[in-house]
Amino acid sequence: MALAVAINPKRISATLRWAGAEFLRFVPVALISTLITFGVTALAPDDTAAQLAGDTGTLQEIANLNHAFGFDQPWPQRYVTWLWHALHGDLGVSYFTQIPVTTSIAQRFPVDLSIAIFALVIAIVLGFGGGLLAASRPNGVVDRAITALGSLALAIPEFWLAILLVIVFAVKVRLFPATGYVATSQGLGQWARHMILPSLTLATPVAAVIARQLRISMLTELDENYVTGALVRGYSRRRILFKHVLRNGAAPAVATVGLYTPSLLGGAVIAERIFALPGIGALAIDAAQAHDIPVIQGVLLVTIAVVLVSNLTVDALLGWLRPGVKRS
Amino acid sequence: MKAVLVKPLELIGRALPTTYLRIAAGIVAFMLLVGALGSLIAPYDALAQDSAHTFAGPSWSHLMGTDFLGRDTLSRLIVGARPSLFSAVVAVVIGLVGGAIPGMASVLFSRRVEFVVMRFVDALMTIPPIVFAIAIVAGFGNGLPEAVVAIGVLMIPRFFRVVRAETLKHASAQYVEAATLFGASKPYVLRRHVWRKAVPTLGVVSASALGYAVLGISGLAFLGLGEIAPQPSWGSMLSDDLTYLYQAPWAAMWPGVAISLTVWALNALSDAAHTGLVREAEVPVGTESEAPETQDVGSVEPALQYV
Amino acid sequence: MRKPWKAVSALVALLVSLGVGVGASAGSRAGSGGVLNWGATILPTTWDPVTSSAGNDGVALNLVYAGLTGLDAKGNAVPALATSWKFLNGGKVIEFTLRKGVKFTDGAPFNADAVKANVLRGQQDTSLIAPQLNTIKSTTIVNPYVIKFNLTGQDYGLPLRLAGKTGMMVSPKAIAATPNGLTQPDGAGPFKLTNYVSGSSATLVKNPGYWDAKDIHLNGVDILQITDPQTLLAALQSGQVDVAMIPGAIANTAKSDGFTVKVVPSLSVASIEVNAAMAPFTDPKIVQAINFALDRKALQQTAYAGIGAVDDEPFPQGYIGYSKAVSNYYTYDPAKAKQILASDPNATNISFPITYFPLPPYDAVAQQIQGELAAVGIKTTLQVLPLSQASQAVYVDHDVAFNPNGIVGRESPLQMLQIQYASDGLLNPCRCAQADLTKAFAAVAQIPTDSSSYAAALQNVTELAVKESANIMLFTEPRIYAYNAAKVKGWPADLIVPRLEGVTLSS
Repeated sequence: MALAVAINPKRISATLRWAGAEFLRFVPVALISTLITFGVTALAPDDTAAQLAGDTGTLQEIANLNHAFGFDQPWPQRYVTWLWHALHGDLGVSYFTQIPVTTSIAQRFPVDLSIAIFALVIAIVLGFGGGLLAASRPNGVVDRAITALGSLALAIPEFWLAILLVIVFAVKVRLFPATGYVATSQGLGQWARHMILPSLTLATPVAAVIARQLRISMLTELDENYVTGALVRGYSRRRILFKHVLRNGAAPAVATVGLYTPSLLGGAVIAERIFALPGIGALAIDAAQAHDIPVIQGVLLVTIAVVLVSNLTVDALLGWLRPGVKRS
Repeated sequence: MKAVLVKPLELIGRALPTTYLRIAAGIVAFMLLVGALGSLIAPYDALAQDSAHTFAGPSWSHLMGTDFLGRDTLSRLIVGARPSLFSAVVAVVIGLVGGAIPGMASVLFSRRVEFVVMRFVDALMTIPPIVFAIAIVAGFGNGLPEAVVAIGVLMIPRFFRVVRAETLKHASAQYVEAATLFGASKPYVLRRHVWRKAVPTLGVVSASALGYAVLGISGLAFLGLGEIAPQPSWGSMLSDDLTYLYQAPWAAMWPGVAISLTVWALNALSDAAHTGLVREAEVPVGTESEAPETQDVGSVEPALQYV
Repeated sequence: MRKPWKAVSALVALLVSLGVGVGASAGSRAGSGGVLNWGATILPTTWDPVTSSAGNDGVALNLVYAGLTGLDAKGNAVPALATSWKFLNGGKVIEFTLRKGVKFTDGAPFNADAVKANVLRGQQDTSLIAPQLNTIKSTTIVNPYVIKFNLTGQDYGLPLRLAGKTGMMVSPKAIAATPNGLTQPDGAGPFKLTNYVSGSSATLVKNPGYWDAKDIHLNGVDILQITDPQTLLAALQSGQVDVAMIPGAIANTAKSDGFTVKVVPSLSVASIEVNAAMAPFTDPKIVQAINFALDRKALQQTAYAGIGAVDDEPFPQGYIGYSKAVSNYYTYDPAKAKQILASDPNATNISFPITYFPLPPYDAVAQQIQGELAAVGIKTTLQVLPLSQASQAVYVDHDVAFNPNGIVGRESPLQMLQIQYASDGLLNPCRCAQADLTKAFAAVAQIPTDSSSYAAALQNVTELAVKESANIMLFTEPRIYAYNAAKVKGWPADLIVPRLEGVTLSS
């Protein structure tokens, strides 16, 4: 049945049109973000060549280094070269350690990615669950409890919540490891145990926002005429809730998820520090203090790429949920 | 300018019937006052070390105890209020100026320019603020101005979109149409009529943006970006407390409470003003606009504590 | 979204099962010996002994490389890759007999050619161990297993130095293949490096070709670079690490948790690298004043929670290089400091940056030093220097005036003094030394290490160094290990680097 709908020519052309519109939006955004990345990092006052040449560097040596790094080229050319290499997976080499940036990032980014994804999953589960529960019986005890919990979750800064959790679980109640990271190669169970606290910390506020968002939009939907009509016709509350109201009301909550992806990635950086995780945050901060530009550019680029992918996914989901909505 | 301030104040006053909200407003005012007075009201010099009395718990001589170098925590909290709060204010101003003016002007753009500007704003939204701040520090050095600029620039999108939405909404009002028919130029109309209508929403967004900025600046300070030792700031104090967790497990409470209270209060005020505006405006819910999260007047994201 | 509850409950079940699941043990190295999980910040700045500037690198490097000589518990040179040696021609030639049948981990044979290749490599301009080899004028290969070093003069300390980075043998095949620097360590040490995540972890497997393999009872070592004390404790608790090198601050917590806490004296001393060629330290009186203004006990409390001892010289008490003449030469005396400054006409409006590393305990110590100096009227600012750039800035560019740091002991006490205080010392920020100190160095080099006058001559150097040099010593930094005594047996008490021969793991 679904397949028949899917290969409907009208549906296909609608999808193509959507894809075209998305493309038109995304490519410029991607290009501009990379341009901002490049601009902020590469065009800043930079004395890397002088630093590397050291105390005994002559002007000629510095000029040679500048040429080797390509600093003497006009900036559009540098931008294009950099982007071209990046798209081929070559993010350059660290100025100081000579380690390829792609290697360093590949070793560390999975940590942040795992936290962000794990947190996202928890946030979606808790958020949608909570929002649904709250909306199913508006102003009931459950609803008020969830709303209050949500406000609390939003008020506490995540890094303070994280520190509190670390204090409790590292110092007082030694239930499971509060800090540190174990690679999945060493066992999924161990990995998950180390992931719980950081992901929970990141997920809590997002879950609260999703729950709040979902509750509002579902309550709005519940006021609509079609719901009254369905009730009159004898459909069960549950069926109405899940089959119609949720589908129609989920869009803003889904959009929220997309909106907070950059925050989740950024939050992972702070979580790294508190939970002692070997992610790109530590790499990036070290590189920032050393003005190790290729590393910073690589980190920014990868983060932006992840955000763009997530936005694309969210947009696709939204398009499926609300096919009639036009986006400008 | 007073006329501009009256409307939001009225709204807040009307929307602050409860003690809850009055407490929130009081907290914000208190924090700002502490920040302004700074070392004038601190019981000790925030930098004075006392190696004989480190990690002291709360006592009559040190109400909040001392830190790892014997410095009075309360004094550091007080002196640290200014960099934590006022830099957030500057960041919000950057976002506001950078976002509101182009946002309003965007209705005057040709379709092409509008497209590019919108994509630029979208691009700003794809960059996580922390990573952006790290990049700015990498390029321009570590310091409070760099951190503030980083946070401020990435707040431009929220101001831009809200003001643009408001402008679009009000620009199609009948009296605007009438004015244009009478020969008024578009910029004049915007300045004279639309701006005043958009200001209340700006107030709401600014309040929540301020909460966001406080969290952002503190988060960066926590990571060591934006504040130079030994000057205290709430975020850097939190970082130190983490290092000395085993010597003083509960010391992290103080800066954490300071930040949480401030952010909660700003959020509460922003929510209240928002509710006030909604009641005022009676705009049908579910207005179509680019941002699906915009369900009602203005897109007010709660000050989420991520950066 | 037909039946979301089903999907949700399935997801929750999955998460729960992951949460309570017991992790599979990391076992890529099978065998009865077990893999030692070691939590410590010992990952080296580089795996190449010739470019290693941090003394701390020695711990990790000693796991993958074998030296020409080794050290016994008393600090005397003993055979390693060389089975014996003797001094000829009045001490101007040293002849080594090499061990037969040893291969590097990449298959290259160990012989006199390999030694020669390593010496030549070590003496290159870009090599950081060149100063330690500068007494070797040339080498003569007598036969594949006997090699002579022809020295420029008497150098009885050479065998001691060769027990450390100076004498670490790198595979000549690897040297030839990577003239621009090693990409991986190919040595003949107890272990072989199989995986390395910079700044995070290193995986090592036992090297069956190690000359003393019979004393290595471990199948492998996993080094986890864990800097965060909470994580270290948690890792110990959960068994993620078997042994942890812990900071003083959590020693008591570890003990009350039931772990054995072993404090091992080391040759590491916390110090401040002061560049006497940069203002205001060109004036020795100012350095003196600072020495009296610093409260070493308080600094030690901040950095080490009081474990160890206050020390104003570069050796711990009881070590052969320790000079009783200057023990407690600099006491905490702010009044005296102020007096010295008041009587010095150059000492007005002193101000300089304290350059510190943005990690504990250096950030705390830097602030504390700032406070202590401010108390005697010396104004300072704080400047961050990332650790990754530290060696370059302080020891190569000589750009840094005042840097809280630490020294790590070397195999030879004379070498330690030379590195820190000699006019060509690698870790001497100003590369300057007064004439009498240089003379004292020359005098010691001519005395055999087993002679009765050696100790006194050595201590004379220490005394002069403490009195004249700008480098400031603060307190000793013993190594503190925490481990489960039921699991880890035979943990070493070596002074310079922990050697894993004899360590066993019981399950």
